[in-house]
Amino acid sequence: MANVLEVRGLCKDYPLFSLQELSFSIPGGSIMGFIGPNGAGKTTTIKALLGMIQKNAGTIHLFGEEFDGSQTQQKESIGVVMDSPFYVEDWTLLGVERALSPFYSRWDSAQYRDCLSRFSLDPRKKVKELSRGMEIKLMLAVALSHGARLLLLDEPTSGLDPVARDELMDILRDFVCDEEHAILFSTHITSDLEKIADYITFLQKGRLVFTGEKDALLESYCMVRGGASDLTSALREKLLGLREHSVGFEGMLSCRDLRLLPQGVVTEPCTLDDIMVHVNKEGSSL
Amino acid sequence: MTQTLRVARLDFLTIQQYLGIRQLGFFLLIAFVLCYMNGTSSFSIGILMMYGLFYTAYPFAIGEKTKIDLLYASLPLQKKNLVFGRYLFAFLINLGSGVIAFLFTFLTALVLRQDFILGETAAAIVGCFFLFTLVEAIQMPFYFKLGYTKAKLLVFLPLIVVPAALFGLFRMAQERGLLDYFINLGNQVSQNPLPLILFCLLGWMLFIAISVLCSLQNYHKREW
Repeated sequence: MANVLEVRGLCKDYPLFSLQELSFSIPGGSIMGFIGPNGAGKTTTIKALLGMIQKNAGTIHLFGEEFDGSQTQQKESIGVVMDSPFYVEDWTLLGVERALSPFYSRWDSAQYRDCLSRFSLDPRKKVKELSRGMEIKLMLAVALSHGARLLLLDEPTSGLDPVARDELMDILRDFVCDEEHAILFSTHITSDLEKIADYITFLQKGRLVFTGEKDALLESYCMVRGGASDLTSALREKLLGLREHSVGFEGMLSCRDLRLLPQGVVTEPCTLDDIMVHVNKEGSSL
Repeated sequence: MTQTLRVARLDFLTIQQYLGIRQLGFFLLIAFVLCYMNGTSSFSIGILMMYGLFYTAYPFAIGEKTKIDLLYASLPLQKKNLVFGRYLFAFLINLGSGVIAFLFTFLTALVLRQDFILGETAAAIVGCFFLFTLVEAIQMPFYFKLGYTKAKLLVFLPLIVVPAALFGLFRMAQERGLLDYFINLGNQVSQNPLPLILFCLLGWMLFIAISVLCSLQNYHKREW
């Protein structure tokens, strides 16, 4: 599978924050989950991909060609879905098409109408009259109608109810069912990524903590809980985000260090939330 | 050029809700009342063309409110085409307000039963067109650099500075006894105005070109 997106050594400096040497790739036909605490650099990365900010260093390759945000032909293949729509609120959904379609050489009007129908969106409604879920569906309808091959999603599911999130996940799965398309999905709702993502890129304070297969990440760590007497010094050194309380402890442990566990200690699979929280507490990389 | 036209069209669609018959009717009513109170139909020219000046800032204002910069970033659109398109839109708005001012002055002259002097009306409209496009040429680079909210105080400075400068020059000329000289010069020029018109036109074009270059530089460097 060829990579749809390749980021190498991306750097961006601000007075109080730096994105440092970020590198990751998204193969075709896959969904990359983009996670990290608030202020980790996820939105900065997406803005750099769109050319909204000037990167200090690094390269971005889109569909195998270098991309700096200004190449209009490549940009036609990018669809953007943010946490709120960036259309004039008095436009109707048909007005959105009227405004945007001239900019895309591959705009498919029939596809747009079909998407609106499939997503149960009334074309005569104004953008300001849409619910939160409808706004996200509108942005997706636009992205799907101009032949986008890469979707950049920045917190699209925040504020959506579980039903709407589930519908969105189905749409995204359909989008990547061939190897020509890919999705970069930035979200705090990591349970969505556990259902749908193939890869994870984890940022913290502008640094790359992990990039790779989601299953590999989840299978590499486990949550450990035990009594106070089970916490040996060797175990204490290896536990990430160790929390001790009156009757015991809990923390995250690499599966390579399971041999350090005494009998009677409980282990559970990690979730992405667990990994994020415990790595953040530790302030280290994986 | 095509992308430039698309951007100008997008700007029009962005502010379309503010260009309705109701808004236009309201402006024309105010202009008519002022013309009636002053007893002259040409009083409305400056007012109507100033409305055009305000409308040229609307894409910046509404764009900031709706975060439309994200839309521009997501579109397959080069920054330079956005700048060219915004200037084209401003030019067309000024042209449109000039046409409306001309028609309105003609109709108001009919209603008020005054003589409609074509030459004077056209000269006033052309003069306002050049003056307001120069004001916009000063304002646009600030809008592109700072955005509407941060720039809006700064951009009204030309509306104060330019008339104040003209008034200051007039008083200076008056105090130094140069007024008669300029009046004589004006009379000579009016006999053969072509060189002066060409000079002013070239100066205007140069000013606009400098403004466009500044806007291109400012917008290229701008980050969100």
